Amino acid sequence: MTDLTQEEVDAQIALSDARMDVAQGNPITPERYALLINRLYRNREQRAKQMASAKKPPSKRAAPMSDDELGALFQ
Amino acid sequence: MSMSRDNLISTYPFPMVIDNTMREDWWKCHHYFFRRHIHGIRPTVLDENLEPTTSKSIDLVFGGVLAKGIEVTRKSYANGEGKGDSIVLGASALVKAWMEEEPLPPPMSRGQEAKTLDNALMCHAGYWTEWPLDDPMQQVASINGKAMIEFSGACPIPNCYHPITGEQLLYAGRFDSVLDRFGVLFGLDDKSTGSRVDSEIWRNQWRLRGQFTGYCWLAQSYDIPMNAFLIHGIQVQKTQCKFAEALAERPQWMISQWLAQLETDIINMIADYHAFINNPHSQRSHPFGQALGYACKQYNRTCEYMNDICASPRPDYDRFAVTRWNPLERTEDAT
Repeated sequence: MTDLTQEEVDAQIALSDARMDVAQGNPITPERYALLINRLYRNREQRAKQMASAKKPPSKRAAPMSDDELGALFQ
Repeated sequence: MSMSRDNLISTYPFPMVIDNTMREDWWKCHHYFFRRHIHGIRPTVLDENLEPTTSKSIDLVFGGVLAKGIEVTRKSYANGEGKGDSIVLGASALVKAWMEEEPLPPPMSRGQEAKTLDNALMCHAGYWTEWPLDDPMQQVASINGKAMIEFSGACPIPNCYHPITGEQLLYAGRFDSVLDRFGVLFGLDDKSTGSRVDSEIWRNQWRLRGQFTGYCWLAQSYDIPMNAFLIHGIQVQKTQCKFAEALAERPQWMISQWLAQLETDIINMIADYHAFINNPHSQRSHPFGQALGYACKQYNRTCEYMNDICASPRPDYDRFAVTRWNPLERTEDAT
């Protein structure tokens, strides 16, 4: 299991609060909505940074064929 | 054992109402059209109570939920709520609509991984930054004192009659809103997508799209002078949403051309239907022909009728249930 970042935890808590409001038949309060969007935004920014800095494995470059390998192709 | 003509007609009723989805399905593959809109079957999956239910598409759920949020925000603002309150009410409706759709199937692609509730909320919030409620270019038209939000209508199609009842067939459509830009009316449709919306490819795809031509024809039949459509593109990605607007003009000649094509398509659908109910086994191929091309595997998605029907020597309907597409509601009606 991967550890959640603080931004992810904050965003999930804010989303759960919003869902609870709605499940109880109430609209989300404006204050809670502002907090929710703010936290979702920070979480998204953090995720974008992580994706940008994630190291990609070096792509394999095709090695030139040896004379023997080339010769074998035409046998 | 073959069915009688009456049984064929009751099991495979020809629709009374045609919409753009049906016409596009007809052009995709006549057999797909037959299975979906005449046979009326959709594949099922087992729900949490192990009851068969039609499978949900995350893409459609995401689009529908976001549309609900946008609609409620627009309606609230038109009813006199403030900007902020309207946005919060829309967001609340969005969360409610999402919860009603749960549980959702797991995402099957990278694009679907971005279709989450938090992204729907971010798209909804970003939408009103891109197209503010009080922007003079985004004002909802008011006709006879009613704000034109979620316009839906149906109109008889000239020269097209039901093959069994003889009643005139209807064309139905439903779109998000009508905007009034300094006295000129524009239809508006919101489209969420994984594709880049800031590209020529995205903007150009609407140029001839019959969906919007049909909407203009419908609007005109309700005395709403409409010859152009705006498409609000919402690009959904894991870490950002982007927005862009496209304009699709629909001069009268284009609407006439579309209507003539619609009439011809329906006449061809009815000819296939007559062949099917009068002697379904007289031909070597099915009266509603199989395209046997791109439609079988489009956008890397296998056609829902391929494995159990078209690619099977004998069709197996065990995994399917009859749930007919209702163009007026844009939902599946289980029967």
